[in-house]
Amino acid sequence: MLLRKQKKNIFVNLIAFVLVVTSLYTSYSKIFEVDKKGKIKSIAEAVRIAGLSDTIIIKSGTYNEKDIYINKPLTIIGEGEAVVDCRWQDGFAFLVKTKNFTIKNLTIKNIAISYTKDYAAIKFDSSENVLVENVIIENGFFAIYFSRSKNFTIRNCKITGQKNRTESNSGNGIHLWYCSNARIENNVIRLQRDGIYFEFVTNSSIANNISENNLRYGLHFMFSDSCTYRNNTFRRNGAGVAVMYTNRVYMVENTFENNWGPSSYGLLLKDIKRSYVTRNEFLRNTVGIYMEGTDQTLFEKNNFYRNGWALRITGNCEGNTFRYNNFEANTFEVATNSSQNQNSFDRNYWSGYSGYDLNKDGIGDVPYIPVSLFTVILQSNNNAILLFKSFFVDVLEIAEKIFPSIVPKYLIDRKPAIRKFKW
Amino acid sequence: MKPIKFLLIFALILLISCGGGDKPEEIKYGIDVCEFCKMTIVDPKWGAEIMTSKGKIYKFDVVECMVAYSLSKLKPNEIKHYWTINFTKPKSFIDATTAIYIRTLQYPSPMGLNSLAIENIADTTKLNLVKGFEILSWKDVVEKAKEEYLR
Repeated sequence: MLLRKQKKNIFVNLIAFVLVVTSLYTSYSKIFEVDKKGKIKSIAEAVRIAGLSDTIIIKSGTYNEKDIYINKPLTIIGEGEAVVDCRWQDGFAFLVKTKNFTIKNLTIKNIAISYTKDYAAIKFDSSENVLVENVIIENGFFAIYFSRSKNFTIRNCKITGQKNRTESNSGNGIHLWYCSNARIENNVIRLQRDGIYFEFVTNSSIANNISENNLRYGLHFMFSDSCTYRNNTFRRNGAGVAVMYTNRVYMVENTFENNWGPSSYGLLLKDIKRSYVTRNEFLRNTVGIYMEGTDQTLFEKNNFYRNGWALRITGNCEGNTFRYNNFEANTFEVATNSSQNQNSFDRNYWSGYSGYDLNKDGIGDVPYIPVSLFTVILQSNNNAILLFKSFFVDVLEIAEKIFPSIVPKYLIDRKPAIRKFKW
Repeated sequence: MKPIKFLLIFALILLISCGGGDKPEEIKYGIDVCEFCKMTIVDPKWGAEIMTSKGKIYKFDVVECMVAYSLSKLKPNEIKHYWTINFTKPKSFIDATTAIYIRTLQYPSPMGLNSLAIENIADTTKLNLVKGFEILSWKDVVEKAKEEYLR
């Protein structure tokens, strides 16, 4: 009986202890309000007087500040229309070097351009456990810049560069350099040089973002092993998307559309190994996928629709598999600069296929060579495009079909699908 | 008399346009594409160019791409000039084989070798270098690029 009472006492004491600790904790985490008409008038001042893990609330208003240096754990939250305007003055809006930092609901604008310094709206260096949420950046140079940092999330941000910039005087939207465990979700990035830039980043994911109208690449991805990008849309970017010098990249359910230009690609792959390109849409690009030095990668269930070239494969690509893809209404299906082929094509749907299926198993009875004679001619002489769709070329194509001699006959789909796949 | 004068002037113009040595061709930033890595060249602090003995020009976004391309696609005796952009004077070229290279993470290069080029050692004062940099010669850059960019 006594024992039970004691037990109950201990329990009550424990609850009391937890309550006291939490109340102490909350009372220690102070809130500072920055207000144009209040006691603290500038963000820099609030940052100076705030202690570890305190919260700073920025009230509505425009604050003309720059180089706000943060080196302690803090939470910064904007209220209403809180705007930090750097007025094109040399410098950064926020410079952060800390653990456990959150910045939310804020607008930052007008960052200076520099040829030698990478000025950014928010620059993080050697930081950890960071959240950047609902931040709007207008007329930035670089927008959000992380270097040598880990464990951070950037979400629901809207980043817009400036109109009428050239590629050499604009910076990247989300720029990561030597980082790991980053999550980049639900952001919209426009009019930057590269929308999202990854260099030496590992174990990170990019999901549900829209990156459009950027001057160079929608996504630029280099030396970044074991990363995933899923369900993003990259459209109308100067040169499309580039993924280079990387192993194990998972590219799933993305849309690459309307990337037109002489050196523009829906997806440019260079020196990629053991990666997955699955269920992506390639719509209306000059080249759907251009690949060079790409090995052991699986291309599965993708849709290629109305591209100039669906695929361009250079001779140094080996061991790649293309299966269950839809190739529909592309001007040229596959182009290659080599007469050899070390890649396998299996059960794809080709709208250019005109074979038959007598046993009705859904697979064409005649193998299909997706490289047309004319793409081979174009490969060595670009100006021959003038003759495209001419009677002369049509005659050659028919002759080639009857007596194959020029097209690389090893690049062949032995089981072409009769009907388009629905994924 | 007049036609002779005209001819003389014409001949002079021809002579001038022939002589004067080889000059690098300006890189059109944002338009030109790197011959090796296929990226659009955008950053005017970086860039490199090769002229072959036949006068053909190849443009690169950075010196490591130039080295990797020249080692893999060209023969040494085919190349007449190697140029690189002077980091402290954006868009202007210097001879890549006599340039001084500074390798530092302070100034990341487009392809990650992080070795910027300057004409003489006095230019380092403009860079505000902090600890952790190394000074490389053209030979070192060739070795490092060979190690890291050619499989």
